[in-house]
Amino acid sequence: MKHEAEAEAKVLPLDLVEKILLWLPIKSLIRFRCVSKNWLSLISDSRFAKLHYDTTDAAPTNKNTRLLYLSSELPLNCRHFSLSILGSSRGFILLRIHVYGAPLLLWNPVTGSHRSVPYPVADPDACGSSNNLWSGLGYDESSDDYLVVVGWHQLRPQWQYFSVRTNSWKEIECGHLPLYLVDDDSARFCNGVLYWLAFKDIALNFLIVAFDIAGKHLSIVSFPTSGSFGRGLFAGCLGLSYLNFTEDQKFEIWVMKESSWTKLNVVLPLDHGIHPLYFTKGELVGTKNNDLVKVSDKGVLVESLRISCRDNDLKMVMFTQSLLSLPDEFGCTGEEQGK
Amino acid sequence: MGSPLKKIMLCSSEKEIFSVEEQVMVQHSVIINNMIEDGSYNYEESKIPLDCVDSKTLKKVIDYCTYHTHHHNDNQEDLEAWDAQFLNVDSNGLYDLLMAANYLEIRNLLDLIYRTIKNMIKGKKIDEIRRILNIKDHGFTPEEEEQNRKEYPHFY
Repeated sequence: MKHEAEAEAKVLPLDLVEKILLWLPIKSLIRFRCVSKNWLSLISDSRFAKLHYDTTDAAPTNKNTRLLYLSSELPLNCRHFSLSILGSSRGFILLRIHVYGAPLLLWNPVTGSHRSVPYPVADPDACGSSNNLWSGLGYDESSDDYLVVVGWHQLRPQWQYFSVRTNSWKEIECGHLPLYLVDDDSARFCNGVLYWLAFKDIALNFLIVAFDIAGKHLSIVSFPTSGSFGRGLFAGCLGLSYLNFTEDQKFEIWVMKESSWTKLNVVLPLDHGIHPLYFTKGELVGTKNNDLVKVSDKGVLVESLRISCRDNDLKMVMFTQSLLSLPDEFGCTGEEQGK
Repeated sequence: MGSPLKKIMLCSSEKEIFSVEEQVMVQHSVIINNMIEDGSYNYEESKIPLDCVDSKTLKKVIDYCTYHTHHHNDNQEDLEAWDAQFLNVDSNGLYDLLMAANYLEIRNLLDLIYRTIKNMIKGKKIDEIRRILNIKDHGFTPEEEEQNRKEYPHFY
């Protein structure tokens, strides 16, 4: 009997429980908060949230990566407004509310934690066309800070970034940058850099505008093939990629690694007409008209899902589920204060 | 080269002595590797006391290290099948192995056990997890439990 009593007392120490929980998906972690008070405080801890994000992010395929689609079922109190997604980075999404005077919104769709970010100018719509507001969300690893980057044209190009940690806007040095953003494209965040697809000139030549989050500077990235009708920039698991339309009427995918472009060995027939969102494990996910489609690297349609929304590009984004909270100006993370 | 395989002595909590090839333990256990490297192990006299590891568990740990030393070139499938068979123990056995692997810092065995426990609890109901991991006192009042569930309704 004594032996049994001893055997029953065996409960895993919390530091080992933590090691196990690090490998579980977000969905499980949210549920497992109910296992015990110890587990709840472990999972709610901002240090654990970071550790978990970095652990899953380091895995060959991040199982917490999701395609987020804004439908009318919003867990925020703004479902009556028109919303667009301006960026996604490290578990957070940057939302624009199309209502006069409404600020930008940073939102963790998993935990619901959010905060507003006021525009750098009183009325962003006054800065020329509201459709030509460049914006994006990036994460600065060196200072554990989220940066909201906004660019617009008012007499001259103007760019600013907002640091969540310092809660303030700063101007960005910008020389001769192109004026026109392609459609309503939001920025792609990849390996510490934000990228926008832009028009070089009125001849509709494309180029890429890049903002280095750590260095806080803007630069221009050109496409590998000259005169290509490049369309469709996306951040995949391989890095920054773009879909190129060639003269022999094929699509090809190029990926940038360490500032040089490599062509991927995939075949996508032209008639797919896909606007790419993500490329992973030999499959391209994108939108085509009113469908969300998945196409294999042989150009075969694998899956298709009907979605009905006019401006799909700004309603969809790839994001990584996380329990992360936003840093605050006092150097600790918001989670501890919120509890 | 050519010298007979060096052996080291490990001593379980029951003071039972196990003689193991040095290479087997050095390759797998960070702790033992450090002891050999910094010269704190004396081949003539020392035995490494493992007061928190019982004989049954220590024997299993040695089995694991020995097998993985001699079969590291086997194909992945065979190794995984062997690992699965190796960890086919009751939850207390698994617990003991985990504590031993943690103490001796045997990285691949630790990862194997973490993954196994992860798979045991993934997708399980809260009550089942408490049972599997022997959590008797969860510390919540019924009201708090209800509150937890309400906080993220879309995950239940």
